[in-house]
Amino acid sequence: MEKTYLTKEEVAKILSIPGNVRGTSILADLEYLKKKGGEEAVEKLKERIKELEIPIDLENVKHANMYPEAVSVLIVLLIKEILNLDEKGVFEMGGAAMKLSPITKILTKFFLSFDAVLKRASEYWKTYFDFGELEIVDYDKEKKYAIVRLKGYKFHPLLCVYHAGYFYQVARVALGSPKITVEERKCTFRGDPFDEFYFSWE
Amino acid sequence: MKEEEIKKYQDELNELIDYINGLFNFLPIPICDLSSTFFIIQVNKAFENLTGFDSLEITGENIEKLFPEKEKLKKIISLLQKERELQNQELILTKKNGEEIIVNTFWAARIKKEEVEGFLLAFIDITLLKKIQKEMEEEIKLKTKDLREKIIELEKFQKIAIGRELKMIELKEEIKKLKEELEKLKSK
Repeated sequence: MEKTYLTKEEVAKILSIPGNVRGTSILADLEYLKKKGGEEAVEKLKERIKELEIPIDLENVKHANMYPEAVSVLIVLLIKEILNLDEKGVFEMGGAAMKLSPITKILTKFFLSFDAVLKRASEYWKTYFDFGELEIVDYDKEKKYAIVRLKGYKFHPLLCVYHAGYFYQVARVALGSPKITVEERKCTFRGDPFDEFYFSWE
Repeated sequence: MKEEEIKKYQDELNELIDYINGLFNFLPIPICDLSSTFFIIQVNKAFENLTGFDSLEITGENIEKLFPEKEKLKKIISLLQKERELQNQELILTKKNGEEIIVNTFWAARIKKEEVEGFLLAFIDITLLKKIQKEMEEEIKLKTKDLREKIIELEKFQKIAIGRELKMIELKEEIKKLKEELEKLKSK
C-alpha cells in the first residue's frame, strides 16, 4: 500500500468545515495510537500537528470539552498516516474509539439492547457532536437488519470507514452477536445527500 | 444554559472522569464492566495484568471468552439475574496465553429505574490458595494414613504387651500356688 501524507492544503480545507465534538473522541484515538505504536508514535503525531499547524494542544485535551471535529478528523488521518493503516485498520480504529472512550463506557445504558440503541441513537450522537444528525430509517428485527442514516457530516471519505467501525462495535455489544456485517450503501462523497449504513446480523 | 454554566459542568465531568479512571486503574483487583448482554465494556489495569488481555482486544468480547465452564457460567448468570448480586462464585479463567487459573468472582447488577443497565464483575486469583489447600489436604491425608498405621501398630503392640502382662500375672499366680503347695508339703 502506498503511504499518503496529509498536506497543508488538505488540512486547511478540512479545518474550514464547522462542527464540534467531545474531546473524549480525540483521547480515544490517542489511546489507540499509543497502544498500537507506543509513545514514539504519539511523539510523531505531535510533530506532524506542529508541522501542519493544526490548532490543538494534545496535552490538554479534556474528555467532556468540545473541540472542532475537523481537528479530530485530522488526527484520525494522521494516525492512519503514522501507523500506515489500510481501510481495515481505520475500521478497527473506529471500533477502538467505542472501546476506549470513558464517556462511551458511562453511556453503556444505551447498550441495553439493540432496540434501545436504535431508539436512542440520535440522543447518543448529540452527546458527542453539536452538529449533524443520526437517524434510524429502517429496522426489521425479524429479518435482522437496520439502516442508519448520518446527515450533515462531510469531512473526509475515510471517516465513513471509521464510523462504520464504530457503529459495528456498538451493534456487536448491543446485539450480543459477533456475526454482524456493516456496509456503507450511500455516501456524501459519492454524490448522495447523506451517509447510509446497512447493518445485518445472524 | 449559559456558556459559563456549561463550562462549569464540563469541568466537573472532566474531573469526575479523571477520578473514576484513576480509581479504576489504581485498584489491585481485576474489575470489569459488562453490558446487559454480558459483553465486556471496560477493564482495569489489574485485569490486563492478570489475564494478559489488552483492553483493546478484550473490550467488546463476550464474557464467555474468559470462562470456559459454560454451564457453570450460565447458572451464575441466571442466578445473578434473580439475585442481582453474587459473591464467592468460583470459576476457571483462561488467560490470553491459554493458562487456566481459578478465580473467586463477585458480581453486581447496575440498576437504574428498576432496569438492569449492566453488570460489574471483580475477581481474585485463588490458584495459589487452591494449590496450597490441595497440598495441605494431601498432606493431611498422608499424615492421617500414617497415624492410622501407627495406631494399628500400637494396638498390636498393646495387645502383645497386655498378653505378656496377663501371662506374667498368670505365672505369678502359679508360682504363688506352687509355693503354697510346697509350704504345705514341708509342714507335713
